[in-house]
This record gives sequence, structure tokens and C-alpha cells, in this order.
Amino acid sequence: MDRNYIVETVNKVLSEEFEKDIALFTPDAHIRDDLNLDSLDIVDMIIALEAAFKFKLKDRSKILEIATMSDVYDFIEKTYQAEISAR
Amino acid sequence: MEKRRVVISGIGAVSPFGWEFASLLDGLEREQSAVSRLDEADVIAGVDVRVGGKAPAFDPKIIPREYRRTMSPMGVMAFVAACEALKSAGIEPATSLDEEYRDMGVCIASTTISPSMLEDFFTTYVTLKNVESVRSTVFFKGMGHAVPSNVGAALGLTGRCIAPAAACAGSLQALGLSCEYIEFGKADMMLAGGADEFHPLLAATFDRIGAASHSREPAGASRPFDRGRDGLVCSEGAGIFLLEEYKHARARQARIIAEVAGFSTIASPASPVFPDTLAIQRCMERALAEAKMDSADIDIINAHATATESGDIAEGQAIYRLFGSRPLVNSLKGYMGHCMAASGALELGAVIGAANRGFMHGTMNLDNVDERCGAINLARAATKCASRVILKNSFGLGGINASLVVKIV
Repeated sequence: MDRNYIVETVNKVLSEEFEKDIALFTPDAHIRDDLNLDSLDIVDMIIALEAAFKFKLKDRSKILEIATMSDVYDFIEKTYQAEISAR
Repeated sequence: MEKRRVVISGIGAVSPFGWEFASLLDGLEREQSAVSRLDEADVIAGVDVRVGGKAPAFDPKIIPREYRRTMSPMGVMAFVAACEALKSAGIEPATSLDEEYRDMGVCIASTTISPSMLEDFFTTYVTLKNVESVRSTVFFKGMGHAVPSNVGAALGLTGRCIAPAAACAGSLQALGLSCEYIEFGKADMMLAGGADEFHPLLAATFDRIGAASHSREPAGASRPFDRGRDGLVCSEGAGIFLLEEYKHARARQARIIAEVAGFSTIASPASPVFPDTLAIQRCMERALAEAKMDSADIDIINAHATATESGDIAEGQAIYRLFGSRPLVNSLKGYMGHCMAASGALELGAVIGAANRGFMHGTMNLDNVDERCGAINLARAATKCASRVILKNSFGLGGINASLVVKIV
């Protein structure tokens, strides 16, 4: 799974989930300040991304560290790599 | 302490006729039926119910997602009706109402928490035995006070947020309680009423207790006071009034639609299911006493009359004992079924609307009066008349009775 695929998938899933223009989902877009997503939305974001990527995003401390869209892409990428190496 | 006067300055309605009050008034005036055949998805094996009164399709995306995300279907209906009530009262709905209105309270009843929310949650929980895929907002759709909370939050209101529950007496109780808050100076303005969404679970529940119609013919299914009735038709909707202290309404030059004169709600412990003639009579007597009126002052009685044998007879006999054969009595459930907790406010709003148009509704499908309902003056067809004082009844499972008296001004 390459970075482009992750970025495209995340942007598509989240723009649909939160009914926002996909153009707003840029790497430096701030989750709270730019996209106006709150803590409830972040819970739903994780559920939507788990459904899209078909693996669990369990690391709560990492989720709490997410600030920008770039952090989301990194989180997905690292979780996927960890999944692969654990198999 | 002298009670303050309370007026109705706005009415909003979502009903099986449509998503605005005018569609309800127009449909009833044209004597149309808003009952339809249920989709296959709404039919449960073993439940012999095939008709219902569902509101037409509606795109809830007109409501900003940040507010809509915690709204169940009944929350959406209540919000739309509340916005209409505000508009009709000359107040522009906004996500944050003008400062002068922000202390408005909200009091909205529902029969149960959103059944569709329960279905969403428990389908996941029972199937997977975990809740990891349940959206964070699902719980907020199913709180006991979700509907008034939804409405208050989406309008930026900071006053009382109350969620009474009294099944099908819910909205009349919410209206009455809200009047009391205003009468005793606890609020100047209250958005009050009821909302319920159609769900097969409700139809199935009424079927299980032998109270649901098994008719296959939508327009003829709900037959209040008629010998040929076979039970109620489940429907959905939201009826919301803006109640306002009289001087407050006058000061802002609001249009006063009607004045609430008296309210009563009492319990009947005899049975959780069967209506109680004596309790109904006592409830209406108390509402009249609160209004400082006697039975001769009432022009119209809009009955609860759901088209169940025990309910129609108990209410008809109570009305006859107290009022004899004089005031006109009608039921609107033949036209649109039983909108559950919303029914009281929807039907009262419709009757007030008809009175303002110079007529009163008949009772759809009342072809052969069941004489056991007492020799009351049942309105079979719409009639031109000048009605000024209306008594509205609503009764709920669990032995809850409510009566409200309003004066057209």
C-alpha cells in the first residue's frame, strides 16, 4: 500500500464521512482548527478508516497525538507496516 | 401567586401529510387520507400490520451536520417543526437565536427513545458482541432527552430542556407542563410538543396487545368511533408549538394564535392498557376547573379516539357524562393514523388551524357510529362553524391522561 493510495483513500473516506469538500483535506490541514472536527468526529474518523482499510487502529496514544491530516496518513502507514510485519 | 397568561404564538408540524403545518391543514381540509401501505421492510413476520402513516421522504442534509449528527429521525422532525413554529411566530430560526430569545426553553416528549437508533446499536452489538464499529454519535441520538436536546442545541438555546414521557399523551403533557412553567414565571417562551418516528417495533407492539388495525386498505383503516373499526394505525410526526407569556408576546407584537386556558394530567392506576372512563372524566373536569370554565363553555372536543374499541368507548362515555350531546366531537386519526407522542400537539394545532379557517373537521371513516360510545355529538363530516373554545384529550399507555383547553383569540 503506497502513500498515494493511503492519502487518496483517507481523503475520500473523510470527505464523505464529514460531508466536506475533498480539497480541504491537505497534508497540513489541522483536524480541529481547519476541518472543525471535534473529539466525537475523531472517534468516528477511526471507525470509518478501519472500515476502509480493513485493519484496526488501536493505538489510543497515537490517536490522541493526531493533529494534522499528515499525522493521519502517517498513522495509517505505520499501522499497516506493523500489521504486515506481525503476520 | 397570580398565574401569568400563556398564548400560542407559533405552530410547526411534520406529519404524514408533509413537512410543514400547511400540508397538514390542507390535507385535512380536503379530507384526504395520509395513511399508506407499508414497505416490505416495515413488515415483520408474524405481525399482521400492513398500513401506516409515514412522513414523506425528506433530505435532512438541510440541517448542518454538526447538529444533525446527533439527531435520530424523530430529532430531525422535531427540529424542522420547531423551526417552523419559530418562523410562524416571527422569529427567524438560526443556529444561535437572537440574544433576546436565547433563554427560551424546550420541552418535547417521545414515546420511547429512537427505535431506529436502538436497532442500529443492537444490530451491531448482538451480531458482533462488541461496539467498536458503533459511531460515537449513536448514543447521543438515543438519550432519553435527545430530542429536546437536539432542538435546543441546534438553536443555541440556554433555557430549560425537558423531556417528559407519557407515551401517546406525551405532547399534550409537554404543552401543559410548559404552560405551567410560563404561568409561574419560570420561563417566558417554551418550544413544546412531541415527536415520534415510525418503526415496525411500535406497530408490532400495538399488534401484540391487540390494538393495531389489520386492514389492507390504507384510507379506510383507521375508523375512530365506527362500529367497523379494528384498531389503530401507527404513524409518525412532530408537533411543536411556541408557547409564550401573554405580555411578552404583546410586547414584541407577536401574532397570538390562541390562549391556553387550562390543563390537567392525571394517572389511572387501574390498568396500563385499558382507558378508564372515570379517570378521563376527572381529567377533563380538572382542565375545565383550571380554565375557570364549565362544560357549557366548550365548543369542540378533539378526542384522542384512536379507533380501538375500549379507548373510543371509554372516552365517548366520559365525554357524554360531562358534556352530554352538545359540543361537537371529532377525531383526526382516521385521516392520518395515530402519530403517537406527537398526536396531541399535531391534532390540537390542526383543530386550531381549522377554527381559524372557519370550519371544523369531521371524523374520517365514521360511517356507522358505535352506540356504546355514548350519545355524543360526533362530527362525521367537516362543517362550517365558529369555534372559540377547544378541549383536546390525549391518553397514553401506562394509564396517563391529559386534557388541554384553548381559546381562539
